[in-house]
Amino acid sequence: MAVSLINPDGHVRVPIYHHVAVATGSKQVHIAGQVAWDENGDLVAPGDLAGQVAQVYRNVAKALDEAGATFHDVVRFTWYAAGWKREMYDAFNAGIEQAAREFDIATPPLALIGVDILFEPGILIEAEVTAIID
Amino acid sequence: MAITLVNPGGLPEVDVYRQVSIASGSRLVFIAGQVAWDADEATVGEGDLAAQVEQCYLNIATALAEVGGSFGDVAKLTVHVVDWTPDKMPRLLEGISRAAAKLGVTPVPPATLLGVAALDIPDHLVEIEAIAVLD
Repeated sequence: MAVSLINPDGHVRVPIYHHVAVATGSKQVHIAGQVAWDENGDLVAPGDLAGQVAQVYRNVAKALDEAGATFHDVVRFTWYAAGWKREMYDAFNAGIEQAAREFDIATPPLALIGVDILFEPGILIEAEVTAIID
Repeated sequence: MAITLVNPGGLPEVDVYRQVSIASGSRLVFIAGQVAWDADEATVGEGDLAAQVEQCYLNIATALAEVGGSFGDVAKLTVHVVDWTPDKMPRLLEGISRAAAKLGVTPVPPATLLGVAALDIPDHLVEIEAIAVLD
C-alpha cells in the first residue's frame, strides 16, 4: 500500500483520523467536492447530517473506484459543513460509522471546516478528497 | 496532457466540471488563492462577480504560465464565494466563460464551491485556489 498513516508522538490522538499521511505514487486522484446527491443530482437525506455524510462516502467510493483507487489510497479528507456547531459532531460521527459498515474506509488526515453555505440550501456537508495511486 | 478528467457512472453529470481528475506528473503546482487583483494589486470588477471570477481565472493562468503550465494542467479548483446563493450561478458561469474565451481553453477540472462569510478584503467577492500537475 502506498499510503502510510501516522500519528506523531506527543500529539493528540483522534479515533477518526491520523494527523499525517505519507504517500508514494505517480498518480494523484483529485475529486470534486462531493455532496449528498444521488446520481440524478437529487439530494439524499434532507435535514439529516448523518445520512448526508454516509451518502457523501457512497459518492466518494464511486469516484475512487472509477479512478482505480480505494479508501486506503486517500491522503486527505476535507469536510465543509454549513453552519457547523460542535453539537453536530455526534451526527457527523454517526454518518462515518454508517459508511464504515458499508465500505472498508480508512482514517486519513481530516479537516472539518464550518462555512456559511454550500452550493445550495439543504446541502449540509461536502467533502473534498485526494488520493495517490500507482 | 497529464490530466485525465472523468465522470464516474453513478455520480451526477455537471456541465461546468468533472467529478474526478487523474493526474500523472512529477511537478505539483500549488497556487495561492487568487482574487481579482491586477498586477498592481488593484481590484478588478468591484461589485461584479462575473468580472472578478474572470480575473481570478486569468491570474491562475498567469501563475501557471510562469512555471511552464496552462489551465489544461489544473487538477482541482476550490472556489470561495462571499455570501453565496444559488442565484449567483449565472454570474459565476459568465465569468468562467469569459475567461475560457480569453484563454482559449474549456476549464472543467473537479471543483468545489464554498460559500464563505468574508475574504481578505470586503471588495473581494470570490477567491479561487488551484492545484496543477506538470511533466
